[in-house]
Amino acid sequence: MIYLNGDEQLKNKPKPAKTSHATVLVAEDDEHISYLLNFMLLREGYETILARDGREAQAVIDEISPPDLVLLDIMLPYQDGLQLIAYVRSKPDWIKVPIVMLTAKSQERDITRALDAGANDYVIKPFRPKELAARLRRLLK
Amino acid sequence: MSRSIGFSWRRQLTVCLPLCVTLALTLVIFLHANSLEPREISHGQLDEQRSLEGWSVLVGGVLFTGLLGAFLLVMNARANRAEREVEQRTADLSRALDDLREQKRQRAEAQQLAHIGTWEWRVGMDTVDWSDELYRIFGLAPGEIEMTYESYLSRIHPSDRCRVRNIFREAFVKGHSFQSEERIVRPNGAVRLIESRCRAILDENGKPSGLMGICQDVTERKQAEQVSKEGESRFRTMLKAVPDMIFRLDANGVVIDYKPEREDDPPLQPETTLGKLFAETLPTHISRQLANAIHSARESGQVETFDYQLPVSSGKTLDYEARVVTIEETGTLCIARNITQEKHAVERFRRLVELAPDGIMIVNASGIVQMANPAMLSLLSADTENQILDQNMLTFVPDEEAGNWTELLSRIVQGRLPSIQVESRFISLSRQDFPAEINARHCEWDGHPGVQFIIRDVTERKQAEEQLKSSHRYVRSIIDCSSDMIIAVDNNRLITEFNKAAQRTFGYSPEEVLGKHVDMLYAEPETGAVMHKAFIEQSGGIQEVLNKHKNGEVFTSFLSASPLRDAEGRLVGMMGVSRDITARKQVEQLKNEFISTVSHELRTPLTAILASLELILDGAAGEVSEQTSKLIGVAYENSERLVRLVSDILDIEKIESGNMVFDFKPMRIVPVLEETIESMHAYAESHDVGLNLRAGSSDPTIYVDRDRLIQVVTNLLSNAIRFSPAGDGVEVSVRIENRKVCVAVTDHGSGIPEEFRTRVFQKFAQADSSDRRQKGGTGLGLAISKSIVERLGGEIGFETRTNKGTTFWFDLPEWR
Repeated sequence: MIYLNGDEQLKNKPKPAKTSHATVLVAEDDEHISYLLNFMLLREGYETILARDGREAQAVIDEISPPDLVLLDIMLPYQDGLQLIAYVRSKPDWIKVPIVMLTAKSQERDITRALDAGANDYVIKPFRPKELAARLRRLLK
Repeated sequence: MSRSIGFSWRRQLTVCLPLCVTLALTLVIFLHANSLEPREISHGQLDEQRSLEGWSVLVGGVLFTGLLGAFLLVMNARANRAEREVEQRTADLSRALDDLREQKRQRAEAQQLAHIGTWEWRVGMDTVDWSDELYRIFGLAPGEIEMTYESYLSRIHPSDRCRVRNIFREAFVKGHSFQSEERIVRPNGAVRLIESRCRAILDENGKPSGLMGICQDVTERKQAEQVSKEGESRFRTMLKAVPDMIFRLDANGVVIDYKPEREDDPPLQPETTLGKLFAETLPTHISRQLANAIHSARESGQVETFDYQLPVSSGKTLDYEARVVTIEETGTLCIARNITQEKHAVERFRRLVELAPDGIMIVNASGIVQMANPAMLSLLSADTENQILDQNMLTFVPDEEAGNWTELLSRIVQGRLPSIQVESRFISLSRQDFPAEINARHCEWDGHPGVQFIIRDVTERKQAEEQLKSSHRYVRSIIDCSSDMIIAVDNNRLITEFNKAAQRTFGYSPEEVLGKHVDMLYAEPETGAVMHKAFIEQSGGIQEVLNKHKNGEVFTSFLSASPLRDAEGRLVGMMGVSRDITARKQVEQLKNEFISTVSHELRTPLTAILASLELILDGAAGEVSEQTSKLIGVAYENSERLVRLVSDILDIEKIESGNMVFDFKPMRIVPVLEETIESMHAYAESHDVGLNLRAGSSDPTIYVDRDRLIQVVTNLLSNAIRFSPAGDGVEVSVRIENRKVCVAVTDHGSGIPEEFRTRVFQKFAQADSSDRRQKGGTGLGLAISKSIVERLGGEIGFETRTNKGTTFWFDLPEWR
């Protein structure tokens, strides 16, 4: 299931504070966090493409043209975030797309691997929406 | 006798006949003168003239006849006397002749008996007078041939002939007697040795007129002498070989023969011994003993023996055994044998027997004890030998064994069984029986067959064996009860021990593995040898290994091994205690998964909660009333605290399980501190506490995991902020001391209560449980900080003063 620009679940679409029209691909399996990320990103004025697991994310990656940023959770069903980094980086026109990892603290050791594999930044869960927004802004400049 | 009578008649006749003739002549002349009538004249009737003449003739004739008759009578008497003398002499002579004949016969017999022959030779006579025996000596029949001087010489052995001729010549010329030995050759060619003496015969003028000699056949005697000489020489040679000292004494006790025991360095020098009285030569105590022995030997006619000690120059004494025997009526032969070695040997043996720790006992063929050494006495709890001697040994063995012993004794005595070694029981005089190791052996005792026993009390050994056995059983049961596998191998890595746990875990029975190579137990056999070597080199070790079950399944075990050494420290193998950690591994896996899950599952909702609350507080969902905002704020803070708690619990778990990864890098400490302080600013502000860094000019480099260091400083700062009174400040300082970088975080709070100081770094420790909500700590921060600082190679501590404040510090080695 692909959520483009949110969906009917987001009844009260947050008003974007400002519009940048940047597109962010989000791969997050937890429904509520996905909702929050989507809420936050839309509010920041980004377009969002949501994937609920690794397999879906890969399908989206195959389908769409490169977005402006990819936000990946590490622990995803079917394919984890690390595999998705490799997949993204294996696509020539996706090479320059910034990738930000979302990771639980217990997988700290994966951060190195993620950065080595091509991630640009990481944010530890539980994340602070403001901090996350700041990091994304930096990469989308 | 008749001869002597005839002789007498003739003598009478010679007297009467001249008298008659003279008377007749006188008558004739008378008659002639008186007319020539012999008859008238003879009757005295003559003329005057004529008658005067006739008468004168007649008277003259008668006178003459009377004178002649008287003369004849005298002469006859004398002749008769002479005849008697002659007769006497003749008888004597005849007797002498008879004697001579007898002597001659006897002499011939004697010559024959003595094999002595005689000869005589006279100048001018060609023949030599030989005695019969001389003929025999020369291998001839007596008188067989006539011997001449030359033929005598011709029978002398050619080699000796010239010498003999010269001897004869010299004897003759000088008139001396000579003695010589020469060989003669008998007609049959046999050579004999004769001893001859010859002497010149001298005439009345003292001139040599011949030679006489005697010869004796000495062939046999000389041979016998030779044999005797050889015998003596052999005897002497034999004596030389005898290792004994030999004296021969004459009746007076003079040493007339002495043979030292050794040619070199004899204790008594022959020159100072021979010809001396033994009493002068030998030391007093010996000569006295010898004198007694000689006396006894003469009395008894037996060999007498005595022992003596002879001091020698080296200061030692030698032991001798002397045997004395009378020889040749009055002489004495004394043979002394050096028995020093034997004495020593006997002495040593005696001492050995006495000191032997084992009981030694000799019994005769009937089992009667003849001898027992002190150890035997003590074994049988006897105080004196007499308690045991003459007892039957069967009294010292259990009754049920007596039959066996009787049988054994008889077999040993008869030589059917040379020796036996058995373990049995013996019974002491105090009726206490003890286990004994018994060695019985055939022996001779006083010339009778007997049995020698060597008996060892093996009570202690038995006890030790029993103890060993029980300790063995004990160890065995420990090994068998052990839930860990216990596997031992020898130096060839062949399995020598495989306990029950091992049998259960591997699925093998002991028979299937004992003596087999241990590599069969490894999933990767090639690693086994390497590991074994490493364990030897490092005197043991701990390692995770992959083992292979009998059914091929691979499992992980945790092996702790150490080399096995014997009493001398020689390596004899390897002992391994191993535990199947597959289950632990699985648990670990489960735990990891659980933690991961907890981490994920707790954080995910918290993430959602926190993010939502923050967004609400930010007014992302529209205006929030002040009251709502406050409530949302409480929810937010507690959610955050919950997140910290989860994080701290995870940290503690990681540190304790060793799973926390440290990424060491050299770095300067001040920027790290600055960054941490910066990140804590918001928190400090919320408590109205100021943060100050006092680094001075020093900015040392340390080698740490940056994130962990930040974690520690954050913890300390967070504590300091929380316990600082509002409006106060927290100081962070850095200084270098002894190549250590010391970081201190000081607050000016109430200080740590006395009773809490010892528990500061314990988990979930909080000074006051009522503080907890107020202060918002998890109670894990300092415990985590301590663990981290220690892992970073440093120390952590604090100084506190009530109502003055607290300083937490840690130091880390300076990186150079």
